[in-house]
Amino acid sequence: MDFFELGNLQKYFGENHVVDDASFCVKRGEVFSLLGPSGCGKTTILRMIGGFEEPDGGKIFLDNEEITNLPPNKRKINTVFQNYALFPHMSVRDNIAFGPRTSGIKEAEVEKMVDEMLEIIRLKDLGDRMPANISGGQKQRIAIARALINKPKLLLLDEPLAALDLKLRQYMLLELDRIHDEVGTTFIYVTHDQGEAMSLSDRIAVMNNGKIEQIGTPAEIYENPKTRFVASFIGDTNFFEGTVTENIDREYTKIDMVGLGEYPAYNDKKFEKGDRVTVSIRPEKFSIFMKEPGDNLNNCEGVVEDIVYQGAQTRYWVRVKDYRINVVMQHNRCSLDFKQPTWGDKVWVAWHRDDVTLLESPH
Amino acid sequence: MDSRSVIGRFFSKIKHGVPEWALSAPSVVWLLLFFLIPSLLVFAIAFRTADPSGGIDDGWTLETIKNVLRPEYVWVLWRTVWVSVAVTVICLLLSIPVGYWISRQNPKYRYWYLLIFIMPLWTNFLIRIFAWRILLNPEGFLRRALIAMGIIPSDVFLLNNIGAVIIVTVYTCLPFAILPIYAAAEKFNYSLLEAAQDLGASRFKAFYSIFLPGIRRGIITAILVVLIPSMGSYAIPDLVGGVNGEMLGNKIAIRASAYRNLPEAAALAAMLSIIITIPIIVLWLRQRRVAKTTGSALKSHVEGGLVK
Repeated sequence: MDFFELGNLQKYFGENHVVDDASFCVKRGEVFSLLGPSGCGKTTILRMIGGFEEPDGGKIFLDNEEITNLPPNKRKINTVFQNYALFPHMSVRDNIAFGPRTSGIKEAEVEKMVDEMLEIIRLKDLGDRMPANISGGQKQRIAIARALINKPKLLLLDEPLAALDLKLRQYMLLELDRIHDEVGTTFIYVTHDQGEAMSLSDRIAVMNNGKIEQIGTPAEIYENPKTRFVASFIGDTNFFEGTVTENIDREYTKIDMVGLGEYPAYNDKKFEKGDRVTVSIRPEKFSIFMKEPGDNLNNCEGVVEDIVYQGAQTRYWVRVKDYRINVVMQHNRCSLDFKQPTWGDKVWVAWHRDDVTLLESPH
Repeated sequence: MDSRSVIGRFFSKIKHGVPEWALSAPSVVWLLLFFLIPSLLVFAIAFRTADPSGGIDDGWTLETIKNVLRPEYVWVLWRTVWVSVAVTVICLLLSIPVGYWISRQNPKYRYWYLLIFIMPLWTNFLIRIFAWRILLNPEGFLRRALIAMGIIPSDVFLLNNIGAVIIVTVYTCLPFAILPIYAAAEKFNYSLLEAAQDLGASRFKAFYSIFLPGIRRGIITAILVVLIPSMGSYAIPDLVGGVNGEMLGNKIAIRASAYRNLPEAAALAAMLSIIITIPIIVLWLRQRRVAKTTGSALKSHVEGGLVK
């Protein structure tokens, strides 16, 4: 049994099936993210782990102990709430000391623990301030310290960076990572921001409509999405509808992409001849050529419609029959030294057969 | 200069926030004329000699002050204080759960619940007290039912005693305690209670160590709006209190009307004013401390307006 286990969790709000048979395991010391759009049920799962909602079915285990029906104050779990939930009538020190004081630890020991936590979050000078007098990023770190001081077996973080502005978010992301390295606590992190989830997590569960669609490392989820939702929610992609016309061998298959023609594609999901599929190709997997590329690459001919120059890369939209294909080209060499495609140019869009993801068609 | 430009200049000055004193002048003048000066007059009258016909004589005396410090009055004063404190405590014990409960209800229905608690105020104060007289009457339904159920022994009377004063005062003050507590509870961030439980606190500990301090402004306001009127209470003890339920307000009324001794009535009134000022000053200092610690002095200035 893994360190933390969630088995077939169910939750209804009235008629709404907000959590539909969610199961996953988390290893000790791991950062595990629940990622999905708002209303997908991720926060409800977190609240059930924390003990603030009762599941309508399923079980929760932590460190070989079933905790499904324990009240929040009896679980060795602490939460960093979305809006920090710092106690406004207590100083920063008293906020951090709340947990140990409640559990009856001696005052001298509590003071020492608080100093230690203030050291970890690098806010030693703010101990006597009131929460109203500190910035958002500082509140965030204090909320983390207030949770971590209890030495929880599991730390839950509910959209902890959502209320911060972009620069602070990026900084706090690094801080969170550093704090995790320092204390080694197991984190379950809820977010709707794929960037946060990707950069922080060891593994991610992508959720939609109460269901977990896929669990995997950030790279697995990005490069090999299992469903159309995961492919579109994580990063950008281009979708094409198609039908399997023949299986070339055990690995490759030929797809008739509607309106474009037949192309070979990597077939890891074992689609059979006649299956309808959705083909997903990420923008950076495409290349643009000014003349027809060599035989190794799949390609099709089109016209450049839109160009957005982004410094490190350029984004093109190329019209190929009924499709507007989104292509991202990295500038590995100085882009001024080469002739770049421009509006109205006739170009070839090319991709490798291995960089195609075949998904079950919704039709 | 025509009037339009004068008005225009006046408002543009307000907009720039210049004459702050000018804006508060009307209320300051009002308080001075109709509150502070009359209060000082009452204090002054306490030192004048009484005129047998019910007016005030020309002389000055300290006799009246000595007179009102007689044990008989100190007794009534003590009763006034403890009854008011008891009423305030009972009101808080009732209104905090009610305020909490209403603030946790669906926002769509909150105002209806609030309305239920405020509705009694639509009936005249005196009529409601008379209604209690009927309810608590020795031959009334309530007492008979309680005796029949064995809840009270048959020699206990509900009317014309201090218990009746407390019950009826709590009844009349309760809406005024519920309103500020509900207002504070509605603004309270309930995720703080979850945070406290998350950090190991029981529901009860979360309630008293996080919720009560969180709504302390509402509690302080509720204390003031219940404690002060009940200390000055006159009609309720007069109608349901009987001989042993008399409070200072009744003594003042009797001295002023039946005994026609204005200086003694004034001395008692002054004593009551001083007693009432004590909790105001204590709570005001407390609120100032609270304001300082939360670092929002301006906010408390606005919300604590009632205190001043």
